[in-house]
Amino acid sequence: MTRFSILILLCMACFGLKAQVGISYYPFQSEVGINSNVDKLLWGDLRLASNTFYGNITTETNVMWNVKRYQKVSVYTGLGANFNFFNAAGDLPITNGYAAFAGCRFRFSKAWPGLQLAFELSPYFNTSFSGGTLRSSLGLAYQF
Amino acid sequence: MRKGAFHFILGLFCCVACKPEYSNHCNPKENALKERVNFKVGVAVDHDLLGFDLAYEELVQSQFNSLSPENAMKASYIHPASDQFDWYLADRLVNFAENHGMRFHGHTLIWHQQLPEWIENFAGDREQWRALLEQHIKTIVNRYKGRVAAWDVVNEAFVEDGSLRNSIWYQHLGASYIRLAFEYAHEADPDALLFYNDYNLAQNPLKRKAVIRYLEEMKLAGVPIDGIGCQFHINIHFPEVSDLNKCMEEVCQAGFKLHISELDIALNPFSRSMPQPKEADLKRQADRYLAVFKAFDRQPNLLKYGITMWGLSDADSWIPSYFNREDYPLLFDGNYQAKAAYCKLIESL
Repeated sequence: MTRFSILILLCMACFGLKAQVGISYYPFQSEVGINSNVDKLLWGDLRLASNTFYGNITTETNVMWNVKRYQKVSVYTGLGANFNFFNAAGDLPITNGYAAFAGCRFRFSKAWPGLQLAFELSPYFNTSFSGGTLRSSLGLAYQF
Repeated sequence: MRKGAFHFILGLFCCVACKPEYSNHCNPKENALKERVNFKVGVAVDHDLLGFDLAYEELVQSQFNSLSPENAMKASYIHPASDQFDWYLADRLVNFAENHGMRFHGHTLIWHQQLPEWIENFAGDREQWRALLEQHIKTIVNRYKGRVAAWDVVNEAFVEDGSLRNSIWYQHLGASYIRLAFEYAHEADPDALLFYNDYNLAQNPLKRKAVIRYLEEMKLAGVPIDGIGCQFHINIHFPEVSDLNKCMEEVCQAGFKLHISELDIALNPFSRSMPQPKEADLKRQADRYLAVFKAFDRQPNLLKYGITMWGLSDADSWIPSYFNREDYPLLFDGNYQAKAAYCKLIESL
């Protein structure tokens, strides 16, 4: 699975280096995110846990695929991996687990076409796939 | 720029991949867990072993600097009849801690389990139940005044939906028994730290938030409560380390001292046949132990009360007998040999 993590990270790096970016904030999860252009068929998404000690900050890197794109809504699915890079310094595994995503983004403002409401369901598993949680997220995003 | 970023990410992974594997070649006789951290590391001891098993005793005193009684201070042991307190077991443990310069953590004054029959059958009115509560708490705390650093005053008063447990204490005294218990303990020993202790606080945010909110309100009303014991009976599969972190942070953010009060990390929560622990599971257990210790260490110094292991070796853990399964949740195996988890803590803390 480490290969999968590397693949996700490399995809993210590629997206990040050439993309038009967007930002997102998921207040209930205390997560902030940066993503490539969500209007493309494939897009990358990187999220950081906030409101925690630096040593606890997790980074989630995800690759999303737009299943349907309408004028006001896009529906997507994706895969991602959750890391804590600070663990590398602490003799702990850096990969925390893996996530799948099913979500949609609503463009609800005509005046601010980049503004989006994001809702996601995301089953999350630990690295051994022996435990996990079903996460739900609601957040605001802006595509520049 | 693109090439640079690619090399950075590749380099990061190489660093991680090249880290040495954990080893299990470490000797508790040459190392002491208590010296690796700047907070107290405790162990819950079995009164049938301490004082009778030399190897057990040596390991307890060489590795830990805080002691909790696993059972000796529970009501069925210490208050077996309405007019009788049995101090023999508790005295032995408190004396042991004093003789070895260890902190003693009293566990537990008020719980709904391990009650003597006379309390379960007590037929008094509300005032008589209050008097019983007062006498039970004040007699025990008074006896060890100045010798017991802290008490788990109330244990497991909440259920999983965040409401108060319909325990025998709740049935006869209502929710007020929690406040009364803390007040009586404080009156008996104003210098002792007083804790509320419960399980599943990391796994269940609903329960955790209810407990913290309830205790915050009590504290605001002037009830002397100093800290929260998060038991952390966890396993290698769940909860996520991020949930453990969240639990510790929320307790500290609410201004309570944090005690990881009953730490053990089970390998076999699904009760499969496991005559021997698997190497891969022991490694995951080691990583989890280290993650808990490191996360605890990140909390503010003033609020770090300590981490207490719930048992010394796999042979005396409560888990195999309570859940009727094979399991290996502690730092030492049944022969008091260090497991990978102990070695990882010694090597990485």
